[in-house]
Amino acid sequence: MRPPISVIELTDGIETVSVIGLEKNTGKTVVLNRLLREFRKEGVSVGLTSTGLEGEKIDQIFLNKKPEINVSKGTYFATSEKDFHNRRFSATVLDLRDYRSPLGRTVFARAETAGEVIISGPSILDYLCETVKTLKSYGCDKVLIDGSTSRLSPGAPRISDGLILATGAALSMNLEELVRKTRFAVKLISLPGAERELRNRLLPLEIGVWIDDNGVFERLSSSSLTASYSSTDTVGKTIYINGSLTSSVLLRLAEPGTRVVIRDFSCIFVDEQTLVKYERSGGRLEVVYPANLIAVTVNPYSPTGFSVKSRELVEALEKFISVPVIDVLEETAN
Amino acid sequence: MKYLDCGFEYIISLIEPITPIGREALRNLTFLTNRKSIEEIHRRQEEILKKEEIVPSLKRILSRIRDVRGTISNLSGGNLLEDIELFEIKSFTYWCEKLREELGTCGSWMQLPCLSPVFSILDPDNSQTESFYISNNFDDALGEVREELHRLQRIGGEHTKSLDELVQKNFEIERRVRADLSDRLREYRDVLEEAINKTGNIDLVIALTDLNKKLGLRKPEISSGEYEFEDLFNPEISESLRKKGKEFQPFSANFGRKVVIVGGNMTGKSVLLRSVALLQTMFQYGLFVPANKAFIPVYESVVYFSGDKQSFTDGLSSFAGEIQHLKEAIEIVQAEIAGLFLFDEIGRSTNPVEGPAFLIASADYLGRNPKCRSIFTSHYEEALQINSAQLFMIKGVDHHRIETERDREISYYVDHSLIEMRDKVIFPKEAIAIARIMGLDKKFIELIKGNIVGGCE
Repeated sequence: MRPPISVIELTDGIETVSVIGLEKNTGKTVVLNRLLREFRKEGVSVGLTSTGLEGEKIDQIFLNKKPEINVSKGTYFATSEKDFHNRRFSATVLDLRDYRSPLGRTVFARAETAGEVIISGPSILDYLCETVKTLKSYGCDKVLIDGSTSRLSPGAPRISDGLILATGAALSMNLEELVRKTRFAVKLISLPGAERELRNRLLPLEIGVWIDDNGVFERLSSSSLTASYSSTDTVGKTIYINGSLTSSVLLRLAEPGTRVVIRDFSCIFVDEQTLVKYERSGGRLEVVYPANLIAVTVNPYSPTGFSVKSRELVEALEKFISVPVIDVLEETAN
Repeated sequence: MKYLDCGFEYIISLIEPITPIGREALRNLTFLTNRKSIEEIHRRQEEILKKEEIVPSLKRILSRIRDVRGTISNLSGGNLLEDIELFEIKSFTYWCEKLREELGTCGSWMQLPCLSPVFSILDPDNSQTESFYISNNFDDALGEVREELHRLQRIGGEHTKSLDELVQKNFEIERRVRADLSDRLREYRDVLEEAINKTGNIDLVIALTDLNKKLGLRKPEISSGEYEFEDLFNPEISESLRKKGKEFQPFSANFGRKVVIVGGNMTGKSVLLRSVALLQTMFQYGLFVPANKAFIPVYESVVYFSGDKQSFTDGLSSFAGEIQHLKEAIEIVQAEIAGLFLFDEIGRSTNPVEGPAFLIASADYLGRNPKCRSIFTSHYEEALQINSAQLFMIKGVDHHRIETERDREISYYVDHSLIEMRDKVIFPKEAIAIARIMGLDKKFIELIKGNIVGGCE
């Protein structure tokens, strides 16, 4: 096992950090709370928000109480009107924006006493970008984003400079499978970015499948879900898929020298075997927005009461994950 | 709101107030039937125009103004306002005060009430920002409770019971403050409502002056009966022509009380009538108008029968639509109120024997009330028999061009100028000529010619 590392060291030089969970109850909130606590100790001013509809107080599946986030005096946060109303501390209301969420408008506030709150930020990516910007405008040194559960955290790489992945026993009761699933997720998150020149050319392109025809991108299909083009056209070419990448589409592109570029890892709906097959055939997979994975955290306890051995899990993951692997609960106890 | 079907909705869609309150004021615009109200809106637009150099900053401030109507009505209902609502009111008063300062001396319609007493209630720390916090200055007990709370939270550990009690106490004092604030704010309800309404009006009038600039609208003059306009255009049609690289040929006229406009197919009679309907509607909603000059009277009612699609959407046959509009006009004549009647080819949807009779009778009857004005378009030759009517003709096909230049678009061969005919005219019969330009089969055209009773010139 590697020597322990403090969370604060992890986020050194990183302004916007997203924490995403591979599954519910993998300890995402624990990580956030820990980051907040360490930042407070260091006197770092923090802004806090979340993606999507994570506003439920009770875990809808297991009915465990969802831990609320502990903010301290001076923490800035953006949450829904409803969740703001249910907070248990005094706060200054700084702004109110109509981001059309089912939970009401988004309130921007600063905690004046410490307390707990559920954070439910805007679910639309553009609004989330605006939210992060606004939090920074208040003078926040760091912005933390409570990312959604499952690796499909839309746009996470686009809005954050660093990403923490939370995994744990909630994902699988079998250690081997847990490691395998986490490893695959880490692989997707760590997909390499295409070179800058190519990225700049891809950014303006609309939804659909595009092929590089001697330096000019031509649209093969308006939907990324149906492969309505001949696979002979695509051999050895650079294909840009702006939309979801599914297993069947990727399999059809499995040819030597073919390079598939997608927006970011959250667009991938491909199973492990398909990706292996694609890579074995000599294909490359790259992203427009590479993610910067800074740590993987593990929660050895599952909500069903089952647990795995923390040390074993951490060591198994460390074998193939180059970034720090941290047991959130153990570190908290220290 | 259902407007006269003359393209007015298109105009409305181009008016873009910034605030929800301004958009509501736009929806509440009504058809004005007295001169004074119209003059008042004109005056407001001119006043904003005089303040042109501060309009960008006014807009910036307006964009920050929140719609607090719901919050104010919560206040009226005797409810206790929450922090978010208190923030909304504080923010509203903050930006309203900015708007008031920026406006400086101005007409009473945009003279905002002073909201600084309201702002002070919500800003005991004198922070001079829009953000809101139940600070220690609101209640003497708060400071102490919070200090202790903060101390225990910093230490952490075994104080949970007393910590919970303090949290509860803090919560209760805050609630007391909110209740007190709600009561105090309730007294300012009327002033806040006045500020909301005035802000909406300012926003709307700024949007109107923007529209004037965008479409090149001019202020109309109000006449006591005369009906004159110069270079009248239809912004919607003009825009769609512009996209095709074409230009709208504006109309100028001086209309009497009974007007008949004749002209061949595709000469623009209907466009003219629609433009007049739009001119009158915009004028009576207090808007500036799409004409270089307009000198027109205020009517109590406008009846416009455009024929085509209108009756379908109302679920009537074209003929039933005609009758409906006629009935409406006749009632106005009988009630002796001032009405403007615009009928596009009345009688066309029935047979050529009875149709012209409808036209002649309408012109006669609707002309009996001296307060009303009727304008008809027609391509029935019988239109020439209408008594004491002022006759206009749209020039129509330029035969010289047809003979000398080929393969141009139809609009190239049509001259849309409106000319008043003082003497008897030869009635234009140009359907075949136009059909030919439009490329109708030659043999078919011969067949039509052969079927004209009395032969073809």
